[in-house]
Amino acid sequence: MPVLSVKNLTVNFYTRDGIVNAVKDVSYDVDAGEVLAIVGESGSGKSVSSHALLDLIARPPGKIESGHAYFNDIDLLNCSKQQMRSIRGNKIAMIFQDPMTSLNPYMTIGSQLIEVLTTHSVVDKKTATLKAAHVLEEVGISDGLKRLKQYPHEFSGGMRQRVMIAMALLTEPELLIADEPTTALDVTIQAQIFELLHALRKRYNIAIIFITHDLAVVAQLADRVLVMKDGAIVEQGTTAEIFANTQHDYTKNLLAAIPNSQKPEQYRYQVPAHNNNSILEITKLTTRFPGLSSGLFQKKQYLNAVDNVDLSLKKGEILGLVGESGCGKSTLSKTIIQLIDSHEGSVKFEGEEITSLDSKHLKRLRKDLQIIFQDPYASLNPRMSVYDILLEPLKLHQAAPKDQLDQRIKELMREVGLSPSDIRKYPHEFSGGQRQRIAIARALAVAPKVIVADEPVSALDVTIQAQILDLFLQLVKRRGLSMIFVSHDLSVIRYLCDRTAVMSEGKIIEVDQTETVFNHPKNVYTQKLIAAIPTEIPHQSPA
Amino acid sequence: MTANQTLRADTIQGRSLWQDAITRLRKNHLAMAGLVILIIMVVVALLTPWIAPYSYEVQDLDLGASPPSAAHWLGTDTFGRDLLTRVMYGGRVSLAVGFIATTVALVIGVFWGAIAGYAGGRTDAFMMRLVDILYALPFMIFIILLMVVFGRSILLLFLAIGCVEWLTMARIVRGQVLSLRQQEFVEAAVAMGLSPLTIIIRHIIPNILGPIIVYVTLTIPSVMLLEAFLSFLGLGIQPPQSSWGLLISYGVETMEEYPWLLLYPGLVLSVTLFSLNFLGDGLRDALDPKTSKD
Repeated sequence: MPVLSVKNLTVNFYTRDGIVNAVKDVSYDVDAGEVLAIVGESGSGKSVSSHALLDLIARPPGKIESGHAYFNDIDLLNCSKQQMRSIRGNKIAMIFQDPMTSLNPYMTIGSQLIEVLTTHSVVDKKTATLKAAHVLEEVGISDGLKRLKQYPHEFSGGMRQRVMIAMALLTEPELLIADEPTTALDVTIQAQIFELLHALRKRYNIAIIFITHDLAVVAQLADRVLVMKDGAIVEQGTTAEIFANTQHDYTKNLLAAIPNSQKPEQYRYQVPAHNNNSILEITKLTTRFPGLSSGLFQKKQYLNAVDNVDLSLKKGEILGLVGESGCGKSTLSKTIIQLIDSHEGSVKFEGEEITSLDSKHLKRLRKDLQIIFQDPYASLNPRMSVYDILLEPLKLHQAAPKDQLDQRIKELMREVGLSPSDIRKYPHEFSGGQRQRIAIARALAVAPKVIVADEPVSALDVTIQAQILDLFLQLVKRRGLSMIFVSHDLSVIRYLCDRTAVMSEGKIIEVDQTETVFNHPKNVYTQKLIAAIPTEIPHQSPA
Repeated sequence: MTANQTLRADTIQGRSLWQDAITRLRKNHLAMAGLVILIIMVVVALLTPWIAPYSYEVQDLDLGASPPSAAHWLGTDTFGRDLLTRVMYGGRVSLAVGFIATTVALVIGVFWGAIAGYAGGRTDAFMMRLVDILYALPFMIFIILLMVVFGRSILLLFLAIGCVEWLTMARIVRGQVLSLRQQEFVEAAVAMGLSPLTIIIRHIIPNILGPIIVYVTLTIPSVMLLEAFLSFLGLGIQPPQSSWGLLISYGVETMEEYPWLLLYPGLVLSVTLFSLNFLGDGLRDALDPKTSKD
């Protein structure tokens, strides 16, 4: 008998622009001890479909139009608030995406865990404390009693997600809903969390609904898969079935979009005969930030975010820069394009030292060195239309004659795959992928020689990501650009980059041809990183 | 839909945020009504010396306080002066103080706050400590000092009020800028090679217009009342001249016997403030591209 049985769930959102059918007639079952993965891109309704069960969607504008969800003979969609409270967080627990924001920073881990226990069951504080410590150790946090007294900021991101899992397990739930629980985590931490979930499922026989956009994750963890698109289930089956015998076109697209190979031959960088062709030469670059504890009379403490880095970018190549969060890869890229001042070392662009330029020369340099940021929702001024966004760099650097400005803007839009008829729309009227195209067009407007791309696809859905990666390949080839591509996603790096530099704790620990780095990593850390990539999708037979 | 499309085709090029905002504002009837009322107020105030039915200072003590009549539409005050005339003349002072003092506060406050917030570090610390010091100074003493040093004039009074009111504006703006400065689009503007001043004007200020407009609509009534308070203390306007604030404060004293002396000046002030609020709300929505889809 299934733990949870959802029947004909339909959820609508009543917005100013009309009714949005977020979930359309969705039915599924989850058995005890089973991991069901709900896969889909942003806006597919994968989160709403499970949040609605626990009354966690905003109503209004949301409205559950119809459906039943039987959990132990209680219909979750038609039960009293009191019944819901006794189930939520008790019999059905949830883990959210971002462990940084889902714990209260002003309460110790202990009091937050104990609160869960005392709310849902009648236990005295001592029993609760012991139980909390025990569960912490279950999820791999040793010395539980001592760690209970610590505050969330004393834990790393992966540790906090473990605390969240511990919190979810405290009440021994029958169903765990995990909403993208590893999206905000590094790949090595992600692998650890998966192992933990696997082990816990076996031990407690919990059913898990795992919501994710990442098919590679699904392959590793799930028993059954449910693929959602535009609020409806387009395909479901066991994991093996889905990967071996994909039925629906959308699922095929999702699978095809995972970059699990090298880039096509035509885009590969050919080493020219001359050796001396680096366009950027970075030597002994160090960037420091003042540390936390520096009293009035204490010597100032510094944190070397970028530590003695040597790197060169060859003309026409894509250099990948990979590392886990906090390794300094963003700081390095911003230091290179002079958004952050360096402390020591030199950056030479076409042989010219650029770390000590005055503002006039720096402006000239900005034309040649451009950056594309991670989040296309934050990197575009919300009050400027596409026209204004693209006009600004063109005017500033006099990149086009006055009477041809409009012409140039339309050309740029076409080049990055946007329709010129959208010229006076504002950023919020575009999707995430389109916004990133605008950001790319803005960087291209001044015809730069080098582009630094700081995680430009990590905020995008996997099918959009594939399109943007191919756009990068085309642009680099057509315009003869050189590019530094920063990412935490190893498969993206492998697909796109000619050479790869691995960064850890501010240092570059390995630089080589991408294939060499992936197939024969020399450094221990690199080996660990590569081993942590979710296992490749079971191979599809060639069509 | 088709009308909308032709509009787009006609204006496809070079439309800025402000042009878009005006188009959107025109569709907001409440805001447009507010704007029209304000314009009428200003026009009447400007033309008052020529269109006022009586003189604001000539007293008719025999008449005394009389209720509204055909000769005196809004009645007369205790000295037998025509209330309509006095409200019209009072409007000149009140509207002027409202707009001039607020403009002074707006310009100084926005730039001071934006520069401090954007520059950060020591510049920020220095500029904001200066604001703190001025805050700590009792503003009455400050204004009295100004009056003593420069002599008493209405214009100086306006400037003095503006010089006090900008402090809060500077703090609000700085706070907003601090959070905006972290946004990637500002970093992108730096990477593009724009100068700090251009970044502040083109990228930062348009994004903090919402709170600025709200604060402005709050500041205008407060400076009008501040003027009445200063006048009451003998630092501002002196009778027989008048302002809305003064008329209202006299009206309060005689409220029980002659209610119209409070009612009409109060009504005019309220209508002005309502119009301002509607216009402010409309402007804020119009300046945010996200609020309207059409």
